[in-house]
Amino acid sequence: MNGVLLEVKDLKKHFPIRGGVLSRVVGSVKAVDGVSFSIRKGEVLGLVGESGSGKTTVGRTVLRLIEPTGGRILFDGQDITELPREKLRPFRRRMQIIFQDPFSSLNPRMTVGDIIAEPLLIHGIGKTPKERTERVAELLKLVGLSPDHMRRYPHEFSGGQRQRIGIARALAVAPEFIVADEPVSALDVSIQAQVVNLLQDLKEELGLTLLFIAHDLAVVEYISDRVAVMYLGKVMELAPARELYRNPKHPYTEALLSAVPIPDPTVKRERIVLQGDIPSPINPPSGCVFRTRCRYALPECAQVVPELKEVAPGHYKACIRDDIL
Amino acid sequence: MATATASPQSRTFFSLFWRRLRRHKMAMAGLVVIVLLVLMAIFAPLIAPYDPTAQPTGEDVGQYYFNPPSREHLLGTDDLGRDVLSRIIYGSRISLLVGFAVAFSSVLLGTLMGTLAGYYAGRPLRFYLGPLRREKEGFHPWTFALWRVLSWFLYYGALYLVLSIAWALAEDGIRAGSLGSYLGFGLTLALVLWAAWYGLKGQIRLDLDVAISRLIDFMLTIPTLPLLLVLSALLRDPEVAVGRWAQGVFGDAASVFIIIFILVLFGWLGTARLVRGSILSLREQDYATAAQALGASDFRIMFRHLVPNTLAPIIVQATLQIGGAILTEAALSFLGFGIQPPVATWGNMLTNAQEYIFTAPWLALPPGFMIFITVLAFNYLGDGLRDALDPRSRL
Repeated sequence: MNGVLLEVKDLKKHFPIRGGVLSRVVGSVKAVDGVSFSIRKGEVLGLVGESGSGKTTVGRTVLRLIEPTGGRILFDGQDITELPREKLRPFRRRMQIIFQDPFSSLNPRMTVGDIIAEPLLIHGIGKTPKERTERVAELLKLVGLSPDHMRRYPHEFSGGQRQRIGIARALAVAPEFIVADEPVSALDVSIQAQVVNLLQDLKEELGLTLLFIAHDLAVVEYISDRVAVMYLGKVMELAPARELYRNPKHPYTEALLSAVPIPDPTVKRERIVLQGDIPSPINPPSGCVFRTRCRYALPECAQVVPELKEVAPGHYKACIRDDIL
Repeated sequence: MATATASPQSRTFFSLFWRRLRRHKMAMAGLVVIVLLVLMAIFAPLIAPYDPTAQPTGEDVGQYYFNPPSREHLLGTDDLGRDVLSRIIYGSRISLLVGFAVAFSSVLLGTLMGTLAGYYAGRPLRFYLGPLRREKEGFHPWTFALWRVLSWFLYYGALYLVLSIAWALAEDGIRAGSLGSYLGFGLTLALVLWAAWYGLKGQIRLDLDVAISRLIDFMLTIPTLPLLLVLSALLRDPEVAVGRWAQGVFGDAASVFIIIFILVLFGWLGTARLVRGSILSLREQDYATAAQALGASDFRIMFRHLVPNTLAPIIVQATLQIGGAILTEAALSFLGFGIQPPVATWGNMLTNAQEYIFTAPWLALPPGFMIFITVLAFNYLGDGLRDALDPRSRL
């Protein structure tokens, strides 16, 4: 087994809500509330959950694009949680991000060449403009675009091509770790496969470690080694991908998986339809946050916050009921 | 992968923009007028038939006064026998200089202030100063010691500067016991107390957005014209330190520079608000986050990524502001607080003309018409630019 590249301990991000005349803090949105996981070198960790579960916030907080409220982030053994900006810069070279929306993630006023060359400029990679141009051409080829595209503007490209440009920009600094924040959610299904395969190939070729955030369970299963399921700012279940999909241990995962369409009309199976909406992260339910929509909920579920504990080798779940599933 | 269609030349931002602008008839007419005016201003000595300030001398000069338009004097002569056409042509130099200089400077200042306010909104800057500052992690002890010494100098130096400026102003421009002196004293005291409090706490928390936005709100409540009159009188008064300074630095051109300065002082507010608003929304775009993830500095994010994307409204604002500045200059000069005679400007030509409006109407009409046509041209061009720069409009 490789060593751990990223370790997140009890990560919290609460966004304050201000109100009143003096705009005092009157509450907080608990977007991420005590998330822990680790990613080994070369591994792909999938992060799934419905809208508002805090997946994106986790991704951005891990990169210190959002300042965490609590918890620790360790990158390659070093605590980066409170590093000042200047000390953080070397780490910016080692971890990158790919965005969901290929339209807002590229500056419309910069050429593709300038966009991909910017990280090189910031980190002083490539001394002369010629060297940088060569590197940009190399990167464009790597993501399946042509070096001729360098002088064009983002609006001249399709969504899939733009996503490739975003990937090239992230790869420019030769990072070890990439947060892929729903990289295919905004793309056509036909293009999704291309981009996922590209990421897969790049991962193999460059030995990347990925935190792959998505709400499409099939895509996550395909690319991930392990998968974490989030609900209302907490990790509900964490297991190797195959294990999680074959043998979900948490009632929430069970419900999620039952919603994945099976491309076979003859297969009949039980659909677990969750009642109601996801509760407000401003005032989450006591105890287990999922209990309000859980069909196995007991009175005790409101009392204790379930810990993420190992129920099988490498398989963790946050549920007090061991008698189900 | 399919390659992007259409040749890049045909789809560049500028060509699209130019095509849209060309279809805007009034904007093109405005542009033509502006180009003609600029040429007229540049080549004034070649075009103007007479010296604009030359007065006839010799016996019986009265015959040269108040000549109606004729073959020799196409627009007639004024109360001192000067050629009105020549004065109009030379007056365009002042109007255009003031218009362009004011619009350029106030848009520059407004963009800077608006960008800072928008980018740092909700993210106050923290400076650690003063004797009680706790040592933060990640600083070398020597850096820390040096910074501490330096910060003392900076901190008290700035205080001294503010106090001495306030004192000089109070001593010279504002009479003791007047409302202004109390206001100045109160402001200075508040600043000192603020700095002392945070200095003792060891941290200065500077919310640039609050500082800039409240300043704009405050300045927008001031009725501009009376204040402009007071300011221009103050700056022109050799008995007042600021006035002496202005005369010393700019000499004969002082009145033009004073006008430009005063108009810029109140001209940047609108642009700053406009820019703040768009920066506020642009900074949440993913490309700004991407730049942050790449380790880009605030400066780079602001001026490489955000400002270029606000350029369209800024250009429109600048164009409209040129017209506004020309109009205000004319108004100030008309009231006698702008550019002083004998230098010809359209505004001060009107001042002279008002006495003779019934006896010599040819004195009032040309400058009025020039102001009208120039301001109209800039406003139409501004409208056209607004439409042409908006990518959503499909003209």
